Amino acid sequence: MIKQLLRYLGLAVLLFALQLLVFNNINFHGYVAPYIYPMLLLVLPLSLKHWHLLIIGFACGLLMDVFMHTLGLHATAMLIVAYLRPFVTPSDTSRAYAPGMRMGFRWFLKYALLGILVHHTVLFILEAFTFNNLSITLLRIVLSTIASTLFILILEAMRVNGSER
Amino acid sequence: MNSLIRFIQRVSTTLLFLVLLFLSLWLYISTSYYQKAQFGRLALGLSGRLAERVSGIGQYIRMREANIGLRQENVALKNELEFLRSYITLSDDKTMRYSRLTLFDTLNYSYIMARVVNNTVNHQQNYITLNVGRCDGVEQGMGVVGHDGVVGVVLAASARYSVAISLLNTDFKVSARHRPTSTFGSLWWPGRSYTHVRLAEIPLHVALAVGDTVVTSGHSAIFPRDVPIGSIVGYEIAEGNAYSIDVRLFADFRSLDYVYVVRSADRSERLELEHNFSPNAND
Repeated sequence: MIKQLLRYLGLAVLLFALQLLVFNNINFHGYVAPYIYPMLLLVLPLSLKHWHLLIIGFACGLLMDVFMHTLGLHATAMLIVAYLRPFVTPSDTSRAYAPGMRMGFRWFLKYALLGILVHHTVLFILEAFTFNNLSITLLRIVLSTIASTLFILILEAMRVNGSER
Repeated sequence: MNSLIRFIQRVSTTLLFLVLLFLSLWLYISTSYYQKAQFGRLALGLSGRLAERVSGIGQYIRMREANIGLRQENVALKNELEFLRSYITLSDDKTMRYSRLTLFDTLNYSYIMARVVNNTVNHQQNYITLNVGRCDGVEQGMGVVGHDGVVGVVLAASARYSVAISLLNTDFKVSARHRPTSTFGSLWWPGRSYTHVRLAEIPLHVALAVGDTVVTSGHSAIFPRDVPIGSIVGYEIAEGNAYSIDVRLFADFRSLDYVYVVRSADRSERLELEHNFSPNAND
């Protein structure tokens, strides 16, 4: 139990550091802003209650907000992902203990893509705070979702490989 | 009974969701970027130190560019120095000479050298972390300039680090001047390309040309007069008898490295004066 907790804590620290120090500096003509830290919320164990997810999502988002000077922005996006997560994860917890690539690559791809799409849609629309230039905001959402999902798939593959060894 | 408990559970979870959603949205909407940065100050000591370590890696790669920029700036400063020197010594009148010297003495802006340790250009609200803080004399409200133009304004400072709002932040506006005609307007980033900003409120009777330089107005206590910002690449007539001007920035915000924090000696006096005489002095 403690070991598990430490593992998720380690993952959280790693994802936050990667986000703040590496992925925030990636840009492609200013249109792509990948966010990989929501991966934490995606791979948390299925045994967690719905309200656990809400609190964890909110807290992680708020912590990210403090670092990025966007108080409330990431908290909102993460909270909405946390609220929606139980509607797409399997309700029968006997099959797997946490959502991940072990449940099948295609399933995880769809799951991550959906989660990140929700996160980015909320985030980029709130960030722009206007429906002017909606086409640009949409372009930013689509391109960033693709980039983030790609990075999350790579990280998840590395994580699964690492834990099997 | 069982289904009732489940129902209550579901309702309370949804209620928790709504409360937290309201809280986060309220935090986001009701706080200004200034207040947001104040919260960020809590983590600035940690994030600044980490970012400084990491940015040190890329520093060697950008060394050549930084070097060229600094040499160009050196030449410009030397030329200006020689110009001012000849200007002073050419006037024979001693009192004149003295008055000019004292004039220079009263217009004192001083600069604090800083390095950008973290900087984003891909968000709508971009911020810059600098490796100088209150210990180095940095205070909130001070301007940040690079060797080729305006960079931002300091929002919050911890002991050794500070965070500045970037010119590339859709919440930020700066007063700017069309240099050839000395017309003032306001300049902001529309949130698209990190190389272009927009200058508005320049009236239609002003003669514009592509390639004209846009500089700071010197109206605020933040930036000195005539700090370069960018050059005009195009313009169109916006609503309300004013131009909407597309300005290409001189500074490359992707590779910001060494910058200066501007400290104006009479800043506090000026702010106090403006505060006392503004009609809404209470806010």
